[in-house]
Amino acid sequence: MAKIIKMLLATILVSLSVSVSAEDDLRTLVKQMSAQMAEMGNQVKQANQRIAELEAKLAQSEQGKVYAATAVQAQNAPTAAAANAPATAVAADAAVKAAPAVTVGDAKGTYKVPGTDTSLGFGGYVKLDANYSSVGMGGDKLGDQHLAVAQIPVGDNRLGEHSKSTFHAKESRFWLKSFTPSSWGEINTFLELDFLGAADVSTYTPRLRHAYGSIGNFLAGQTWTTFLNPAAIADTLDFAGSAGALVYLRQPQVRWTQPFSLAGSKMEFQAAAETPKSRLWSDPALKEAVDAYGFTNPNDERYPDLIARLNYNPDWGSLSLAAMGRQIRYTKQATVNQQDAWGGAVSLAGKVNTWGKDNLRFMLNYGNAMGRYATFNAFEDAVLGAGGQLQLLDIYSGTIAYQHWWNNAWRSTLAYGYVTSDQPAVVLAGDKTKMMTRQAQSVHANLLWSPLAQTTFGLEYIYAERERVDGLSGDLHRLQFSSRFNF
Amino acid sequence: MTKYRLAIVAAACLSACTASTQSPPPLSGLPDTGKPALHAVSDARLRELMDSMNTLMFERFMAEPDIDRERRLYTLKIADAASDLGATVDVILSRLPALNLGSDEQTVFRALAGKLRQQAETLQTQAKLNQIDGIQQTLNQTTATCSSCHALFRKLAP
Repeated sequence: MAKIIKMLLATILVSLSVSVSAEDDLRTLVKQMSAQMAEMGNQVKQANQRIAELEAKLAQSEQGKVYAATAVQAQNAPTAAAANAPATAVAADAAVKAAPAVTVGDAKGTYKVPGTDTSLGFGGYVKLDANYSSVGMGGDKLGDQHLAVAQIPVGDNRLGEHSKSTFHAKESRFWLKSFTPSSWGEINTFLELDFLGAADVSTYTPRLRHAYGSIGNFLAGQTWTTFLNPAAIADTLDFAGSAGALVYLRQPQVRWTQPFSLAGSKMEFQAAAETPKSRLWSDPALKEAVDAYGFTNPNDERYPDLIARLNYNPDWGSLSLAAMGRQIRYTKQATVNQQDAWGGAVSLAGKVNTWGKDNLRFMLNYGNAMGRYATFNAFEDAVLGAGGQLQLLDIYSGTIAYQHWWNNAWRSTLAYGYVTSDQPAVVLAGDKTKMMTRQAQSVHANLLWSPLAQTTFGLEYIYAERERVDGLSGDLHRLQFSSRFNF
Repeated sequence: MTKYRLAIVAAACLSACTASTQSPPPLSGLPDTGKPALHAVSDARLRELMDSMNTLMFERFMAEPDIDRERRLYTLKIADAASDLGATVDVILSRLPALNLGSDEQTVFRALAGKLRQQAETLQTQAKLNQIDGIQQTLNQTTATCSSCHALFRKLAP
C-alpha cells in the first residue's frame, strides 16, 4: 500500500514539475517578446527623430539654394556699383539675402510675388484637333474646325462639297491669373487667350477669351456671359458643343454676386449688365450689309443686356436659373429709320451628380430675344421686314449630356441637343444661298483617356442636322481625334 | 430514400456554404455591427471629395478662377471631413478596453491613434489654408496609418 502511495506521489510531483516548467517557458517567452517590442518601439522613435532631423536639414538646404541662386543673379548683374565698390556689393548681397524667397501661392499652381501677398499663376494647354467630316463647309469656315450648324451645307450648297480632313491646334491656350487677399475681399485677375481669332484654318490669330478682375463680390471685364452656367457644359472634344446648348459666349460686363442662405442652403444671386449687340436678318430689299453668316449688325445699341441668375449649389451638383432682358435696336445712318424692341430669355441649367463621378448636365432655354445667345451663329435676334418693322424671334433649345467615368483614367460623354425657332415667313424671301436655319439637332459621343492628369486623348463622333426655313436639310457626320497637354 | 439522402446532402452543403460566407467572429473582441467604422466613413468621404476635386482640372470650359473657387469649396468640405475623422479617434480609443491588449500593444495602439489624430489635424489645417498639393500627401499618410493599425489589431486577411 505504501509502495502504491509513493508511486502516486512521484507521478504527481513529476506532472507538477512539468506544468511549472511550461509556465516558466511561457513567462520567459512573453518577457522576450515584450523586450523585443520595447526595442522596436525605441527604434521607431529613433527613426522618426532621424527623419525629422533630415527633413529640417533638407528644408534649410532648399532655402539656402534659393538664397544662393538669388545672390548669384544679383552678383552677375552688370552694375557699375557692384564692380567698383565691393562694400556696396556686400551690402547689396546682404539685402538680397534678407529679401523673402519665392514661396507657394494661395491658389493651386501659383507662386507668391516676393514681398507681396499676390499669388501669380500661369498655365494653359496645347490641343490638337483632327477632324474627318462627311461634308466640307466650304472655304475657310470655322465649321470645319468645330461644329457650326449654320454652316452645314443644304440643298445645292452640298454640291462640290465632299468628305474633308482638317487638322488644327487653334484651341491651344494660355492663361495668367493672380490672387491677392485684401480688406475688401479677394482681388482676382484673369487673362486667357486662344488662337481661334480667324476663320481660316491655317491662320493662328490670337483671341482674347477672358480678361477680367474682381474684388470681393464685384467683377468687371470679359468672361462667360452670366446667362450661361459653364458647369452645365458637356465635356465634348468639339469646341462648340451641342446644338441645343447656349453659345459659349464671353463678353464684357460688370457683375455683382451676392451669396445668401435659404432654408439652410447656400445660394448666390448674380446681377450683370453686359455688352449689347443686335443681330438682325434684314429683308434683301433694304440692301443692308451682311456678315459671313448672313446677319446685319446695326452696331447702335442703347442699353446693356441685363441679366440675373440664381445659383443653387448643393452637394449633389449645381442648378441655375437665369433671366435676361435686352433691347434689340436698328438704326440706319443718314436716315430717320429707327426701330427697337425689348425682349427676353430664360435658361434653366444644371449638373447633377449621379453615381461615383458620373453626372448629368442639361440646359433648357427659351426666349424671344435669344438669337445671339443660342446656337453658334445660327439665329438672328429679330427680323427686319421690308417696311423697316422689327419682329422678335422665338427660340426654344435644350441639351442633355451624361458623363460616365469608366475608371479614373477613362470617361465618356453622350450629349444630345435640339434647337428650333419660329422663323417668320418673310425670311423665306432671303437669298437662297444664305438661307436662315429653322431648327437643328446634334449628337456627340466620345471616349476620353487621361492616363495622367496633364494629358487627355480622345475620339469623338459628331452627328448634326440642320433644317433651313425652306424645309431643306443637310447633315454632317464627323470623327474627331484630339490630344491635349496641360501645362 | 436516395432522394432523402440527396436532400440531406444538399441541405448540408447549403448550410456549409452559408456558414462559410458569414464573417468569422471578430478576433479583436469588438462587436461586429456589419457597418464600416466611423473613421472609415470619414476616410471614404475624404477620398471621395479629393477625387471630385481632382476631376475639376478636366473641366476645360470653366475659367481657372472658377475652378479655384470650386476647389476652395471642396477644401472647406475636406476640412469638415478631417474634423470628423479627428473626432473618431476618441471613439477608437474608447474601444481599447474591449480589445484585451497587452500593455505594449496598448502603447502601439495609442501611438497609432495619436498619429491619426495628428494627421487629421494636419489635413484640416492644410484644407483651411487651401494647400491642395499637401492634402493628397497627408491623405496617403493617413491611409498608411489606418492600414498599419488594421494589420496589427484587426487581423485582416491579406
